[in-house]
Amino acid sequence: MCRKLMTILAVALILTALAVVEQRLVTHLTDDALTRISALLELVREGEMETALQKARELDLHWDEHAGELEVLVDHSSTDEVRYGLSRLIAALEAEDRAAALIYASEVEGGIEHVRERQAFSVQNLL
Amino acid sequence: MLNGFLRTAILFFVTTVVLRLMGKRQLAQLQPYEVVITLMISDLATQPMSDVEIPLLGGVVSILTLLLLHSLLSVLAFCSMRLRRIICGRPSVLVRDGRICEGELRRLCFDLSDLMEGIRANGVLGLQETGSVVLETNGALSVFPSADSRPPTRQELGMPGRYDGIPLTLILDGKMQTRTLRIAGLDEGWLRRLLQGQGIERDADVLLAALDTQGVLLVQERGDAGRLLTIPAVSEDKVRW
Repeated sequence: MCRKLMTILAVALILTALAVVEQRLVTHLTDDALTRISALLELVREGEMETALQKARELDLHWDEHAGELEVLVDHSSTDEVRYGLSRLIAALEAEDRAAALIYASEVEGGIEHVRERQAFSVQNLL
Repeated sequence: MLNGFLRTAILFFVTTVVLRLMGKRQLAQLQPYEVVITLMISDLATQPMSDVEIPLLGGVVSILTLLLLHSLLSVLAFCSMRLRRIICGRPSVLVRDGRICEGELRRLCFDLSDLMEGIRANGVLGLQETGSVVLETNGALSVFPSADSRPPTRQELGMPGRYDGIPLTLILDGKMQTRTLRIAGLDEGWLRRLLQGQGIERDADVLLAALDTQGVLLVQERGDAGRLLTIPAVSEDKVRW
């Protein structure tokens, strides 16, 4: 009986700790990326393609650096979507295609938000 | 490939540890909620093994959650008879005093041919030799032969009772089992002297040494040509464990 109670306590603690750490880590890792993509979107809207391209490349590097940590917690497909979106965005910026760049930048922003939201504790995710 | 190998190994160890923590019942006859948990664990473990896209932690968390739920349900079922009845159900008497309880069979949708098969599987030839049959909560059928059909007990024959304990393994695969020696109130020196009296110099030369509740030590030496010895070791009145 004692052993069962200890097991319950230990596992409950581990699961709670993992849940809290996961939530914080995902938020922390995606916060910076979200800020960068929002700024990038603004630059594309204002037509500053060169600066946007530089920012896109920086974001791409940043995502590559941190995607590995995220992939411990979320499906690879979610982080891959962002990666592919960034590649398309960079290509569009290099081609100076503003319309396409806007679309792809929005896609990337949505992808990063999706990574955050799918790990969040909510009724929608529960159901 | 290496990822798949390592993930499989990790999940295998996690699953083994979890099943071990769940207790011996998981490996034997299961209550309904234990069947569910065992099936779910196997499925949860295999998904991350084969799909490297799924985070390993996800599989581990799910398995740990099942361990938590199992432990909780076990404790609740242990502490509350009412809750146990809700979680596990009640045993059902299908045959009482040699007579089939038809109403109970109908209620459980338990087939008569399944009942007869279960009776035979328990070594009882037919209904005429059956006393009682109970369908346990884990689905097992307990069959008790009628008093007329089972062998008589010592008590019924008017013979004095005998102590029925568990034989203790004192040496297993050449290694002295100090814990069981302590249970028997014996020590290693005593056992070694006894074995030396039979020409056995080392513990490692013994495959198995077991002490039964009549105080007789059964010893099998290693090797195909090893002797099988029966040594009166302890007087019967000293055997109490």
